[in-house]
Amino acid sequence: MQTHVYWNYLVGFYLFLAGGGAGAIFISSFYVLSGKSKQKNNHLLAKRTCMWGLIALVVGIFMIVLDLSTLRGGLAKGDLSLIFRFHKLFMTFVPNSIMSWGTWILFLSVPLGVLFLLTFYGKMSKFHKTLAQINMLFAIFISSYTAFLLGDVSSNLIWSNSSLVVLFIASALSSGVGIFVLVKTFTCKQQHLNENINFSKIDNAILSFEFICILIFVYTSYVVLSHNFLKFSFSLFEKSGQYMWIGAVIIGIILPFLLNLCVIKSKKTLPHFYEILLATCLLVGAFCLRYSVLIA
Amino acid sequence: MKRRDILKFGALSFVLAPTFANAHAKKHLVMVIDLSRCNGCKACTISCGVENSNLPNEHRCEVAQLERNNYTLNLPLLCNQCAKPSCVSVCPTRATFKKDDDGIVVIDSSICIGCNYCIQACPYKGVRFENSLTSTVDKCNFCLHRTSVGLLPACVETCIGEARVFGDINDKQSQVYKLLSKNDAYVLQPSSNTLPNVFYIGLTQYASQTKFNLANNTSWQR
Repeated sequence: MQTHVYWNYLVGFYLFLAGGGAGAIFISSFYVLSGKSKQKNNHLLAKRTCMWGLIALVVGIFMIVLDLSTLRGGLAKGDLSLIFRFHKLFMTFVPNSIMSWGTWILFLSVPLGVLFLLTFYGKMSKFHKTLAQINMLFAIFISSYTAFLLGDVSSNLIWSNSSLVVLFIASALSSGVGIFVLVKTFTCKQQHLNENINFSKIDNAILSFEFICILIFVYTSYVVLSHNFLKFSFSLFEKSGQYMWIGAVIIGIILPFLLNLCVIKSKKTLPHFYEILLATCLLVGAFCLRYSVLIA
Repeated sequence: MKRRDILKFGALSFVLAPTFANAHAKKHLVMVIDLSRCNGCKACTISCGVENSNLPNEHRCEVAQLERNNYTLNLPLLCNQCAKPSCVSVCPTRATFKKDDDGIVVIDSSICIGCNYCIQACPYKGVRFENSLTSTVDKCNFCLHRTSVGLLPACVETCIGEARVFGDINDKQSQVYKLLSKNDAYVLQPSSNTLPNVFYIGLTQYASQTKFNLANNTSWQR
């Protein structure tokens, strides 16, 4: 008896990396547009955040290509035509297909991101702000696209929940913060306390918003599932529930929230180990959230 | 042309128009499955596998055997060739499409990239699968290579209980038209609003609402 094919962890990583990359590029663009990047330290920070955001996007695209059954089959059989079949994605535009829209948005976002990155190195610097604006827009498109991709599957009552779009945008921003914190920890030797406290406050605001979004999403899913006499996927006894509550909420929201609170209350900069822990928690949480929704 | 000739031509056109219109009318191919005639022998599954050269564990059609209170319901499952298929609109390469002339939903395996989006989008779980030989998504297409030359699908041809009936519902002389006009027939998951073209006689309304998953049901054969 054949088994039903589910999207697996590769798609989970794709959703996570696309969201995280978009979040990082959003923050980098924000630094440029707000004028913060005029300071030398922040300029370096914005540049490296943009670079790591781009790397995350490219790795994410690689993950989704790796998930294609034609690529896997082609590698197993040594058939080049199957291996490179994925090029058909970039040869067609189907207005009705969300995946087609997403493919083109991602396809365009990489060269646009590269151009934006080049402006940090003084090339095409007169387009610095324009490219920041375009990249910010594309970051929003990508982070929401991952939710629309799932939302288009109307037969899955959890995926077709419209609050998923807001949740994925918030989660993309928080995973972008995770990448930013990692870059900050390894880039800036001297950290300004006031900036760190402000940053922790902003991060906590994002995390609080994300938590509210999760509660709304889970509650609406519960209502829809129970109305249709279906099993509640986010209970702690289910795998997706464990990923959601332990991974996304406890590791991804509560722990970073407490670490940020330590900075705000103690008015001291966190040691590097705790900063890395904070970033790791944010990234692990973002992955768990997407994977939990994917397998629900 | 004289006035009389014009009138003659007009009258002749009026008489012959429906005939020509019928000759060019689109087909609407459907399958009707009479559950009271299905004994769960799975000859359909075997013949489908042989006809379409699928591997033994990869089936385009299957018979789910569902335990009810005091009996077992044999429920043949296959692609429903929906009138509003959710798999077509999501396909990013147009590999999945609906044929205009007869309404059959087809996957072009030379274009399919195997993203599995159609598998996720289809509300009837388990009727699509990854074909190990082509490395693309595969599903029932009412044996397109047979029906296009006027033959019956392999599963219909083999069904020993004559539970499966196939034909053009637009043809009022067809067996499917007669069966559907005489019997109460249900489709699976009507709430999905995909307008399936596989109809079941003998299926209760309750059972029609149930989300059967072909992949999760136990099988005693093959």
